[in-house]
Amino acid sequence: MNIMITGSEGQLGSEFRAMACAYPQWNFFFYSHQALDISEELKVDKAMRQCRCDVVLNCAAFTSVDKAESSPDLSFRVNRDGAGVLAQSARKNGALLIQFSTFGVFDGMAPRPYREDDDAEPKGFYGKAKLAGENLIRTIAPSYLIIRIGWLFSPFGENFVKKILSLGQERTSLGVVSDRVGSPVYAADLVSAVMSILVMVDLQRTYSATYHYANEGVCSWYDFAIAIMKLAKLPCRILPIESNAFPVFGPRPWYSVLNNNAIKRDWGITIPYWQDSLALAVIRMQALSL
Amino acid sequence: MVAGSGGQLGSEFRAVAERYPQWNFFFFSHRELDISDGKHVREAMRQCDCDVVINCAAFTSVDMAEANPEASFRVNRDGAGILARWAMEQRALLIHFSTYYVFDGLSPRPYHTGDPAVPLGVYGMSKLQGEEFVRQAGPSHLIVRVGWLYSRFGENFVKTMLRLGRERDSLDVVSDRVGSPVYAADVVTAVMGILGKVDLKRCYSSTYHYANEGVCSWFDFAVSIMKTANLPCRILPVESSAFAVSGPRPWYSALSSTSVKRDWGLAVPCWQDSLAAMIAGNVLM
Repeated sequence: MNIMITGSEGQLGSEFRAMACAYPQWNFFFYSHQALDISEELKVDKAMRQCRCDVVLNCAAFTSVDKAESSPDLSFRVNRDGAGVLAQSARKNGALLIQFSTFGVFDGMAPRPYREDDDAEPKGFYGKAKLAGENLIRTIAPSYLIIRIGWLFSPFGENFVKKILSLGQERTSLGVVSDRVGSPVYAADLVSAVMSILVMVDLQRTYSATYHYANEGVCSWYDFAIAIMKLAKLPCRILPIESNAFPVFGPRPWYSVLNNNAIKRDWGITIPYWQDSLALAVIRMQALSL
Repeated sequence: MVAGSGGQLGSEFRAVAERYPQWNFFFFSHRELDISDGKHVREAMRQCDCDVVINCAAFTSVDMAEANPEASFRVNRDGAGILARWAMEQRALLIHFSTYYVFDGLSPRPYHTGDPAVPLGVYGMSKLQGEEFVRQAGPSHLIVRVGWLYSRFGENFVKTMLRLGRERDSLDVVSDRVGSPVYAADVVTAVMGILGKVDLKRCYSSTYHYANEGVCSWFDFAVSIMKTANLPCRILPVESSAFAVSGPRPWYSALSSTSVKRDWGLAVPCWQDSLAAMIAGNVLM
């Protein structure tokens, strides 16, 4: 099986790269966003033909919620058009497309975990662009899995865990928003889940499913930060604050917990508890920083 | 005067009362004083020449309230009204405890005290009407709505989990409902802090929310309980549709304690720290 991975230097792409050696039976082809801009049709097509791609994993995205508000065009070019281009190429090459999407496609006004068939009503340009990307894939790609994920963290790229770890080393106390709830996702868990799915997929079949993936459990950013400090044994005190005390540019959903039952049921996978995964991630980050 | 002194909150008041020797406490369990019995309430309040009445008496079973609404309304609404009426006459301050069940649980963010209260079932309705009876009777009052209450006393989720955790290898716990746990001892400390600052000449009429800082689902709560108590029982997340309950349960019940912290200069502990304190104390008991 030949597997092409776009956006291979982002949080997810880097985890795929780190885990690829555990699957020597497959050929992986990694493309960073510098090496391959997914909104360029000819280049994407050529790359897919060259690697005789069976599966394409799209980890490329324009992920800044705030920058999406100031430059919507950029967000739409990568998150919508890029997804459409990959869907076209996957169609020409008969490849299965696995697309990663986000809790940001929802408005965050639900009081209970989002299911796959709940109405997607994004509030900002980031969510709108990601949803438009999903919809292009549903229309164009002959076989696809769309996986929406929660609050992503990993040792790679920029994320909340890394930010809190570095602030925790500099400061004695830190105010963190306590009124927004979600489910963290350790990128390594997600990649393991995708690898198990790849072991089980039948490439003769066509798939057209949307899933939610998040670690088990919920927290507010405040709870998340406390857990990080405890695991890293940093003496920084975390103080709860309301989000109105912390102005941000792009829209932030109140509630972003995802119901992960469908992916567990359809593929027989189990998902770790977020604090257990956070513990592994913190150990790994501390080891990497040595 | 503390009514309902045999319950979770009342027992915590009883446990810490001796740390406040400057005050005289009069405890009445629900057997000693039925708060829906007007004569008896009046007599008790006069006898102790009461300055402050703390109402910890409530009919708290959500499921039984559905089957037996009269009992729920009698205690939660009428009892609150009677205490308020005699507190008014006696010029006593009434501190009345209420619940997140006054809300419908459909909010995506923590409930503030000004949010509209739309209860889902009998229990929430009886507590909401109790609040309204208190406000209408007009005594100086503070209403304190609390979140997922637990303590060393009475029956509660933490004690149930500690017991089941010793009996079983694994346990299914609902993961799709979110709220904020509250350690009764923290509520009592906060109320004692408020009592240290109140001016009994003033007339108060405020509604507050009190819950420990942070949020969790029942699943997260159970995982933390097992970890903190070093119990090897595995907690498995399930959807609430897997459990049949007769009373309505809100999806979302996190409470914002911002106004009580601001008005009374309180610091509220994080739920995980309080849970650890409770479990340490429980082991000693």
